[in-house]
Amino acid sequence: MVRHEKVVLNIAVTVALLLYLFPFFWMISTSLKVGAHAWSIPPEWPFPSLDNYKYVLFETGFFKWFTNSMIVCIITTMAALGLGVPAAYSLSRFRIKGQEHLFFFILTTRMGPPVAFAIPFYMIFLNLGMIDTVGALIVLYMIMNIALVVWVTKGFFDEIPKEIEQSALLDGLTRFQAFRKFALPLASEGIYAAGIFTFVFSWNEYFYASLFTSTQSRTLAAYMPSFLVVKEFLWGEMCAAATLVCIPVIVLIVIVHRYIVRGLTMGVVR
Amino acid sequence: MEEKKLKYIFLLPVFVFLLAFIIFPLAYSIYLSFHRCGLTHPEIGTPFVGIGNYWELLSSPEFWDSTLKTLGFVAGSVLFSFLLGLGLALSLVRVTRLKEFFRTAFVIPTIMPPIVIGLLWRFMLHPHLGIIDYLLSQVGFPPHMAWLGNPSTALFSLMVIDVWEWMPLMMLIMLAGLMSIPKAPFEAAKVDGLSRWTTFRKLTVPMIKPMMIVAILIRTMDAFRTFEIIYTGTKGGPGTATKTWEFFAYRIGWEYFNMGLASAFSIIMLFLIIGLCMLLLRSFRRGVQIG
Repeated sequence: MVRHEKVVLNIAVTVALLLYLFPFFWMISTSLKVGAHAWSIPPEWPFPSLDNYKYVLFETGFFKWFTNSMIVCIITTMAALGLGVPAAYSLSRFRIKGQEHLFFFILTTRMGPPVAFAIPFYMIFLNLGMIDTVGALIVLYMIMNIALVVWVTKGFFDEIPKEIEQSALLDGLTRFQAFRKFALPLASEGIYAAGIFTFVFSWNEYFYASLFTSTQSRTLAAYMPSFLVVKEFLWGEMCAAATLVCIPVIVLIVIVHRYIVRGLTMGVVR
Repeated sequence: MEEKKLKYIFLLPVFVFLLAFIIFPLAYSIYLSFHRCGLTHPEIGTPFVGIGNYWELLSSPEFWDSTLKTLGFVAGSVLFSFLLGLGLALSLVRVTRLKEFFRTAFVIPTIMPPIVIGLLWRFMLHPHLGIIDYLLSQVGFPPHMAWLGNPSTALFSLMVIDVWEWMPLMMLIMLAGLMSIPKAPFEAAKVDGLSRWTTFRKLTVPMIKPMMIVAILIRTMDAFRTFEIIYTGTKGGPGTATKTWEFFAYRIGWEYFNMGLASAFSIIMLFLIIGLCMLLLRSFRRGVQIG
């Protein structure tokens, strides 16, 4: 490519990025404007203030919902990895009849509309008295994410040469020891990535959280629309809360940005 | 011996889990769909109504209206995010500096919580106090346009939000494809003096075709599930302008608490969506290797 063409391309992509992320920047800038400044048209640019953050953090149930979200996401992630990683290893290393069907079956968890699962689960949780508990959300989020864990980590196990474990077996290790001492550490990066994606998707999930929780077990995502119902014009406060909800997700994704395609496509694309 | 045991011990928990939590609820859903089950009238119980729920749904014009909206939304959203994603991927693959930074920064909308996106756009699209209305009126659009409140623009506006949210996913998948294709054929094409357009059509497209198919397929599945931006943006309205399947079924279930009818709806949706995805996969001439 010619040199000046390269410069033009770089500038064009930078401008496109800035325009594309405008809503994101607008959210952050609004979160720093207090009261009427947040929604004045034409836009005003008062000196940035952190009052909206103070309000959200100390005068709403933010910390309670934050704790709920953390509990749900951490338990879901641990459990999904605990079940999913061994299964992925098994699918990667052994011949299993009907493996292709299993993949399609697992993919249906992504095809199925949330409503299709919400109704039976609502009835089941209602009968078990599990409405408005974190347990209900953990079960649902595991269903949503276990396929992701299995297929993403399977891809990483597939890339480890089988010879490594075979020589370990020849040295007298059992298959389980070979798995624990060799396969697991070698695939650890992929396992972290799968875990982080599970965490992020659970953190972001709104539909089930809003249906199955009310006061006790609200998560942060489910709490977001409360800015809309109570007072229509709490824009500054809403943007502050939205920014706070986005921060952990963005930080985590930056850590695993190399595996972002795998995470977002359930490992369908390497 | 030990090998065989381990193979099943490792797989069993996931298998049991999926069986218990996917097959059982679906079976229960099918059961409910043949019964009357209104949570607001528990004294009626759940009498068997045969295909009554299915009939009620399929014979109502509302369902077919909703089907039209859903297909329009999915088709528009997938098409635009595909074209924009492809364009961006073709540009980003040539960027040499800060490659990783650009790739990650563009993805921010896709990883933000969808509910935040819905609220944020509602705020920006406010007819009187929104920044978008202000900016558009500065460049000559009539002021105070209710993009989400007008039946003729509501669905389109939701599509724009959806494309904004998901275009980066399309871009990333196709970028992955573009980065893995060999350089040699392109150098040969240059020597032969082929135009850029011909090179793109004859070389690039066939080589990243599998990635394109996967991108479209995944996006299609997700577009059917869109809920948050409709819920915050339009609540299915105005009128029935944006009442897609997902939202329609949600209302039957959680506003009228008619679980029998909502179950029948979700079973129909499930089969239609899975059927459509399989059809889509088959209709692309050369199958893709997934998994």
